[in-house]
Amino acid sequence: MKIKFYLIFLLLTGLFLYGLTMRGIYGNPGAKYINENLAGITMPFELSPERGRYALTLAIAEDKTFQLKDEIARMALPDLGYYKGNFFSIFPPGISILVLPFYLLGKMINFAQLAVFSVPAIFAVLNSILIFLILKKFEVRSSYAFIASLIFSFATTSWSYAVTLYQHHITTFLILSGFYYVLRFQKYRKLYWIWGLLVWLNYAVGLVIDSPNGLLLLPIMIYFLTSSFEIKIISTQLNIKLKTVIVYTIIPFLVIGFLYGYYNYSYFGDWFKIRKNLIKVTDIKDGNIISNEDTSVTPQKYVLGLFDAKNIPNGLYTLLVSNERGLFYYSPIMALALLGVISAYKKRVRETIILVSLISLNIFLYSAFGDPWGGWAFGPRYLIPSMAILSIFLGFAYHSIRSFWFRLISFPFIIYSVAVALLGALTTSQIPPRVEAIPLGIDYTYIRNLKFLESGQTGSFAYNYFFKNYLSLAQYWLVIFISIVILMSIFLFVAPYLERRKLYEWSKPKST
Amino acid sequence: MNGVNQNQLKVSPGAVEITIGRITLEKISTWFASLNVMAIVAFFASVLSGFFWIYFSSRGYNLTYNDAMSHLDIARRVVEGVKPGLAQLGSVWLPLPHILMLPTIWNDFFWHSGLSGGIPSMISYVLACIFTYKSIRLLGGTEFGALIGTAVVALNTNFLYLQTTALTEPLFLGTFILATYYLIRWAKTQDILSLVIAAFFILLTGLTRYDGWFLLVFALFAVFLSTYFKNGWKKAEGTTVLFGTLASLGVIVWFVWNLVIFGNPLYFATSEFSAGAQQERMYAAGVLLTKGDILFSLKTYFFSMIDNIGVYIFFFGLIGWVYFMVKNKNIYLRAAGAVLLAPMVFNILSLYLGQSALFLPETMGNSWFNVRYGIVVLPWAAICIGFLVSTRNLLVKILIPAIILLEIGLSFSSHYSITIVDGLVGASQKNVTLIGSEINQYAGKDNGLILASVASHDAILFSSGLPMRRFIHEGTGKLWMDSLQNPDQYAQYIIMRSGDGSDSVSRAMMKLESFPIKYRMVYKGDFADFYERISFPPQQ
Repeated sequence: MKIKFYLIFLLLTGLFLYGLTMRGIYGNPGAKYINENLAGITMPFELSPERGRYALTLAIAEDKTFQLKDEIARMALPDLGYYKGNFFSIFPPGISILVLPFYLLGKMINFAQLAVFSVPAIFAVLNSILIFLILKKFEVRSSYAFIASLIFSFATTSWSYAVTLYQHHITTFLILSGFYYVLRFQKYRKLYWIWGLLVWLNYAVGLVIDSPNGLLLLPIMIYFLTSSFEIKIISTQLNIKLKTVIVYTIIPFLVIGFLYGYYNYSYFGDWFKIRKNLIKVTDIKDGNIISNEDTSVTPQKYVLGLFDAKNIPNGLYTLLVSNERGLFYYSPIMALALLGVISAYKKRVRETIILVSLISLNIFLYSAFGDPWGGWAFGPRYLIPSMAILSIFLGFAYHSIRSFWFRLISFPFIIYSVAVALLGALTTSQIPPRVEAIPLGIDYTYIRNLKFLESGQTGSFAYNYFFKNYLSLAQYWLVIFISIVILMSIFLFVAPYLERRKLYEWSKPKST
Repeated sequence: MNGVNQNQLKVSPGAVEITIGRITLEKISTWFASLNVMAIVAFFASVLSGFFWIYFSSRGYNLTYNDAMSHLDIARRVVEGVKPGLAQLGSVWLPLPHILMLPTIWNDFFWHSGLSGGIPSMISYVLACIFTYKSIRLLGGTEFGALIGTAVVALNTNFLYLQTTALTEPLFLGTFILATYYLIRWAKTQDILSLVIAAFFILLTGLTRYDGWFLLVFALFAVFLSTYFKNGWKKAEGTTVLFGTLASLGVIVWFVWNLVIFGNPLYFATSEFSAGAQQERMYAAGVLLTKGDILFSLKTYFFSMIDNIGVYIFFFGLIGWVYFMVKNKNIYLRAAGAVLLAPMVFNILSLYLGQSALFLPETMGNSWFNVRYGIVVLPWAAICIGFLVSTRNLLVKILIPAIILLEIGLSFSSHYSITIVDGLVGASQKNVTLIGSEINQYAGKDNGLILASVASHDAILFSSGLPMRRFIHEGTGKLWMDSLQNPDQYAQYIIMRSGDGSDSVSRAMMKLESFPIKYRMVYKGDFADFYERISFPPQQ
């Protein structure tokens, strides 16, 4: 089967399934309407990260400012900052700016909210395509590359964050595309400098999207740097060659960096420190600000200051194995990906090191983060970039361990992972950490999602507008689940067989 | 000059090219070969050691642990007090740390700054760094691997802190790494002298901490079994006797000491001041949850290890240890590898048997006590990591050191060291500065004797800044016994915790009807109260 077929199929599958689970409503809801009607559990704006980013988009589009006023400010709570009498979103403005054209276009056809929420879904589809392309670059068989892409999209909790407004899929896109650009850059062919420009652009955009991206994308920049060097030993001489393109393609980084620095400076008084002076507001009551921070002192906020060594043991446990957020608890199929590291290493040493570094850095940073749970969330949302890279390794595992039995053993893991991922995407991401859940008497695992599934509560636009009268939510879940399982089983068990037959036919000498 | 030898810089559109000629390459490689890496390690370890002593002692952190102050006081009582002498070394704690303080403890500055205890600890730290490096090299590790392993020891924030204190862990770590190094050397070369030196250092560990006793048993088994499987019974018997005679000398000396001084060879384990007795009281109070619960003991010590050495370092150490045991076919080396685990096994067992207490936030809520016990697995992790990253696998060679350095870097950037937390807010400390200065103000004016139990209030004695000769305590023999019967005959002041009988002075005073008539409380503290005799006229 041709690569194009796989790519088109990935695109359509992604758009269709994300479309079925996309959270939203018809119309152009304003801040007041969102606060009053759409911020409840399972609703499109159930959590503050999506509200905060959407609030900033509303402010830029409607008030032509980065300051949040009145109801828009209230909408961003508790991720709201205060400085010199004005309210700001505590998030970097990247996502809100990125979705702005979608908001404006969507508004014209009365679909503003859905148009904005489709942006992470588009990036999620692009991520699955990138996983496929990267695996193809490493000569992994198409069916395995395809199944790896599907697993990332629909067998990990990344699904929940593709159908609402979070930064994770965009960060993942910047990592995967950055890696892909450097792979292309290495070829040193005509116009290779364009790939260099894109790498720098990615890094700059990454900083504006989410503060830790400056660290998360570092392995890509190291990969870029090492790809710019050529070291040879020629008759006892050491020859080191540096492609200067790495220096002069920095322009997009400088331009975006300058603009972001200017944004920080003009609003918060410092070019380099992230949102310096911003005081986090937990509530606004009768016009008065309520904050846990001392408003009389100037807080100094550094990205590194968010991470602390004493958090690491608990952070690792929470992110990897706990029933609150554990990667291997919510998506056990990811554990099998570790087998792929060995075969990938045998094939591409440098690339494997970079990919493993990306995962390690991602896990390391967020294990040291004070809130590894990611607040109220479904699954380990901070590890979505790692899920994508682990999916690449899973493709390698399928490719190198060609045994039918390995695929068969992996299948129950896939089924479980899909079931859990779909459950989260269809119901809610409002799962509290254990420490908060116990006093409130609520569940802190996906059991909480099951209750919403049973009671038919969902924010899915497609379900609420088209299927609600024909199917219960559980039936809707079941239909999607079975479709994915069938799709995956075809590509896991049938497609490799067909591909092998075709390869066999190609290898036969043609009869005259 | 020949073109092959020339260095060149070529700038062309799109590239900068540097060519280094043969002669320059040879010069660089000769320069690297001439480097004495061990001397560099020793230099940096010494600089770090000195810098952090100044850093922590200037903040008073090196004296926050009660135990650190008690160790200093024990050594001081040998040279100064109502009844000075070697018998003051006592029975509870093993004597080597205190003996090593004797050359300097007579000096008030060395005593009260804690430097007297810091010096052996700092020397141990430097030796630990050097011999970690040497051990990894001896095991066939690369220069890079050895440096990474050494960095694990040298840059551990907990070890850097502990080496500024008078606590016994640094000395144990130093002697343990030395013993391990010589055991590895014996395992590799079968050189008997190395085995004898290893035995000597095991002797020293056995005079430093009780962990050393378990190490002795472990090492005896390791030496016997490895020799037996390789060379049969006869050789095994001879080697073990040779090794065991010297290695167990410290333990034997301690039994004899207890017999001679206290009349019972097991006094250190059975007396009311022993750790066992202390743990019994904790067990009765229901806080010794590890006793009899192997899973909870494992969990507790696991958290102690990862809190002390770092979770990534622990897991990489574990992988390295498995790799070491699988890769090495030499049974002697495997035996040495098993010996590295001895402190870990000892600590888990002693928690399970109720012989030690360890509180951590992960297991006991918001409480810290003896969290430092996990530090003793540092040599195991460091040597195994050094061995692991010496592999040819680039992924391991790049990624593991990178993650380890990130973890170390983060512990520095977030100013985190759990042993300091325990020393500042945990149960291993009592803020006795206030009562210490009050006692100094009251009692510093005259020369009257002060009755106090050092088993309970040694930190207060230290904090008062008064000379040891002012105190009547358990080590003053008949004077102590008489003072408990008739305190007003001897003691002008008394330090005790009123009313609850939690220290021996308090228990004795509760029985004396005349006590409230003859003494008045002049200061009430959080941990103890200070009394002054009122039957004497006030001092002018």
